[in-house]
Amino acid sequence: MRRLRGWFSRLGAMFGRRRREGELDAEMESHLQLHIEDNLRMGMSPAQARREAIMKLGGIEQTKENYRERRGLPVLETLVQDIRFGGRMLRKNPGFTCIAVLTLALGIGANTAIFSVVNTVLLQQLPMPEPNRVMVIHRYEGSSLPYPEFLDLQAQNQSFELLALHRRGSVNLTGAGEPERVVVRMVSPDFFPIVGLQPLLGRTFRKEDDHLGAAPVVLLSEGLWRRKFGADAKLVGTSIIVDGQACAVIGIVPGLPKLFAQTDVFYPIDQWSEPSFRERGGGLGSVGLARLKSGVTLPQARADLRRIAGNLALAYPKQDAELKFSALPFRDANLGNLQRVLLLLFGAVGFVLLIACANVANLLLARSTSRQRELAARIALGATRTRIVSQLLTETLMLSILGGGLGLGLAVWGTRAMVVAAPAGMLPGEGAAIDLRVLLFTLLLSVLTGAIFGLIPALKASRFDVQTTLKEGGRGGSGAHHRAQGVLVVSEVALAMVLLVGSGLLIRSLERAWAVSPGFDPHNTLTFSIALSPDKARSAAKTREMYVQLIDGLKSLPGADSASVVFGNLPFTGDSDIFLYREDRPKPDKDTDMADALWYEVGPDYLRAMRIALQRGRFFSPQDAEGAPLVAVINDGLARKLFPNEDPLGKTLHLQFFEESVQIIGVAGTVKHFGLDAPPDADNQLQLYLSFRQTPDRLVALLAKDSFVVVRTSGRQTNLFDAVRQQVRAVDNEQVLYGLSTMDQLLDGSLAFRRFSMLLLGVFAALALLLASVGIYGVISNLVGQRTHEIGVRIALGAQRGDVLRLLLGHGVSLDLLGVVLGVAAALPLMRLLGSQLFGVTPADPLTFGGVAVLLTGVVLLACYIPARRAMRVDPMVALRYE
Amino acid sequence: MGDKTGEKKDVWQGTLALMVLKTVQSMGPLHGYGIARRIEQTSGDLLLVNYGTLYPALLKLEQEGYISSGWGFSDNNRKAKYYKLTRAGRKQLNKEEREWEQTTAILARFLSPGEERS
Repeated sequence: MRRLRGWFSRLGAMFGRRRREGELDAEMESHLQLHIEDNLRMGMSPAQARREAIMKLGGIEQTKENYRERRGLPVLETLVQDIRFGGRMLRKNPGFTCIAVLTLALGIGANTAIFSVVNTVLLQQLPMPEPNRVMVIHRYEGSSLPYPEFLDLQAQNQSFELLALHRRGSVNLTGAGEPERVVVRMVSPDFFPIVGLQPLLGRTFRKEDDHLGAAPVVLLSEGLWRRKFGADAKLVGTSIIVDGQACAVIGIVPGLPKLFAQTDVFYPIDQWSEPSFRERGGGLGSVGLARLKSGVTLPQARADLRRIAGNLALAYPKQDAELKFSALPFRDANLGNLQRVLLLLFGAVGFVLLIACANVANLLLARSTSRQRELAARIALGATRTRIVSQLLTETLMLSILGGGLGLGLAVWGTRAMVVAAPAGMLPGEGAAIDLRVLLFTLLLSVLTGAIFGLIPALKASRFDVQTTLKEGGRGGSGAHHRAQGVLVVSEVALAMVLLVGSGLLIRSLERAWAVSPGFDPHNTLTFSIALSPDKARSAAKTREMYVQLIDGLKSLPGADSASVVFGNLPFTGDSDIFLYREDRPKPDKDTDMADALWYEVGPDYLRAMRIALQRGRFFSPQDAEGAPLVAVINDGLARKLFPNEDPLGKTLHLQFFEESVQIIGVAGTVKHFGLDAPPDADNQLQLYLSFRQTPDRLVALLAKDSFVVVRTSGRQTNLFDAVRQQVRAVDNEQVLYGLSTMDQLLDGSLAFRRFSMLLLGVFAALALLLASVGIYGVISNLVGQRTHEIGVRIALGAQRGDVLRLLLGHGVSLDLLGVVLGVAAALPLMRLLGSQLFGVTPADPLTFGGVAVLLTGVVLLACYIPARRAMRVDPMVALRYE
Repeated sequence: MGDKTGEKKDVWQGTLALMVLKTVQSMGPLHGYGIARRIEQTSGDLLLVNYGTLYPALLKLEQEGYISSGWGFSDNNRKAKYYKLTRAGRKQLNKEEREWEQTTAILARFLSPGEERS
């Protein structure tokens, strides 16, 4: 108990130390005086009295030391002392401190930010039960899975625990406030257990709900429920009007992971009344989703699918001959390219971290050489090795903590910046949070680097020849030190080289992609989607007429040059394709032997609105309307494929799906439908234009559900937005207009991903360059400091300033060249990993490699020049005296 | 004081504490010099080579609450720090005195000629 009191007392004594120190002095002084008085009384002379008193008191300093030790907690006190000393040392060398702290902060911050985002994108995408067992089922490589085939799969498969079909579309929501166009996902009932969706209210679909003619039911997403219906719990059980049909709301489901997050309404897929949906060999954008039975592997499932495909091919030779199913893990199907890019960034980040650590190590090594003298002096004055080691360790830890703290701030900011800069839809709604594990890992790594390289001087200190060091003035930086520094610098340069080459290649790829002509003029063109209010009573003729009215109205707007409606696909959106064949040749037996073209049903002004080149023949005119002979315009790709040596004009094509024959009246230029950077694959670029007024009656309603309009303007498009909206409303009050934007924006968006990864890698490359040049600067600067004496001697002996410069620059350049060569050697195989990210450049593009090498060497030379110039200005008289 | 005398120092420090307490009890409040002088006298000049060794011991006793200190004036109007016994100190002193007596008594039995059995 008493001892505890003692400890507390000692703890408290850490404060107010100066006061107590003064008290002790006073007490000692008074002790002496009392003793001296006694001595005087005993008859000694004043001098004798004093001497005797002092001798009897014993060693004052020793007493004070013992007193101090007893009074406070020495361990804590030395720690505080170390911290203060460390702080002073760091403040005295602001350059070193700043660089070291910044380097650490950048390494830690960048790492954490990237890891956090990557983690969010790669891992948090799939909060469904057993995500690794969820598969996406397509027909062929990525085509839609038709409903009858889906039913067959359900009946015949042996590998899936659950199998569902889903398809995305959009519907009009009316009767509740503003009419709105919302995203619908038509699903079979098993969709919900596979994805792990539990209803917040009500229930999900059952088998009884999912067939044609059952009572119409819908599920709403939580987002829509909150936004439009104010989270009204009584909504369940009431009905809302979806595409003109009253549907009962039977439940509310929570928002899904990013991929399905935009779904507002769920609808049973088998209730869809679209007749072509149930055609064998059809599809209409449906995709299968399945969960593997436990114990079944992916190869086994694929074998099972092959078996079923074989069965169906025999049973339905007309539609399902050569049928194949594909099964892909959900993660790969939806991330694929993204995953690869992010892993690439992982690598980049690793490089930067390495460079940062190498830099810090370098800095510490450099500093250790300059502190040898200080350490030698301290040893000579009696410091124990433990004290020195602990003090140096404290110093390095302070550095690491400062760097870590700044790095944390950088990580937070960096994560937020990345979330803002990321292309839309890449990250889930809530953004990305910092991953603590990575923060700790990078922090640990930095601290370790600091500790190891910071301790080197201390560990060497014990083996010092103190005398020699003191005499030499600490100039004897051992060869091992310099070699180590050299190695570190060379590796930094090599790493930076790799990153710079990578980013250079990506920059060139982007530049090449931008240079590609899209095949049309995206400037001054605005586009939007439109959905006529579903009116079952409206005839196909009336629908067509409404569109014509709309286009005429739009064309009459001031500032509008031309306009056209587009059914089917708009460049950069959609991938609807149809099979077709030449009517003057025998019909191919199987669909897959036919040409597969993207189709666009457009108005007469389309080519003009999009400024697509017309190569031969003519485009549509107002006469190509209902009742007139069916016509079509093909692109040059289709012309080359089907009519390699003949004139396609006047020939007839038979179209599947439309089930009609059309006559070719013109050939148009090719549009880069899948983006500027799509691989130039001949099959992608088969395009067919049809006159929208000649759409078969039975398809009008279906196609009108998702149609586009393009308007070319002669000036700033944004001014027309309101006018356009008014025009749309004038034609039909209940129409919904959405997706209003400009073609420029769509084009931009198609390259957004490429731009983002280029930006990211570019930032890392710049970081690497900065760090590497700082590293070299540090090393050369240190070298200059070390060799000032030697330089002074050289100059005194007649060397020219230029010679000195050459000496130092030469050293720097040789390090740099070695690094560049190593970097090139490393980069050549690594750049191949960039794979599909590259566009228009080879992985070994000599221009990029050469340019980067020159850039790197230039920067390094600059970094060497600054300290070298300092060396040149050395006054030999000063240098020779310099200790 | 090197490591070799460390052990001895501990023993003396333990007994030194006792001696300080006893001195202060019998002499009343006393300053550091006085205590040192008194201990030296009482022990017949066998102890306390350096008076300075006393001060850490005084500090320890004060930290543990057995003595309290305060500044005052000596006979010659010299300012000095006086130490006096606290109640806890008095209790501790009694306890230790008893313990010492016990120890001495037991040792005496061993060391003095007496009834031997062999």
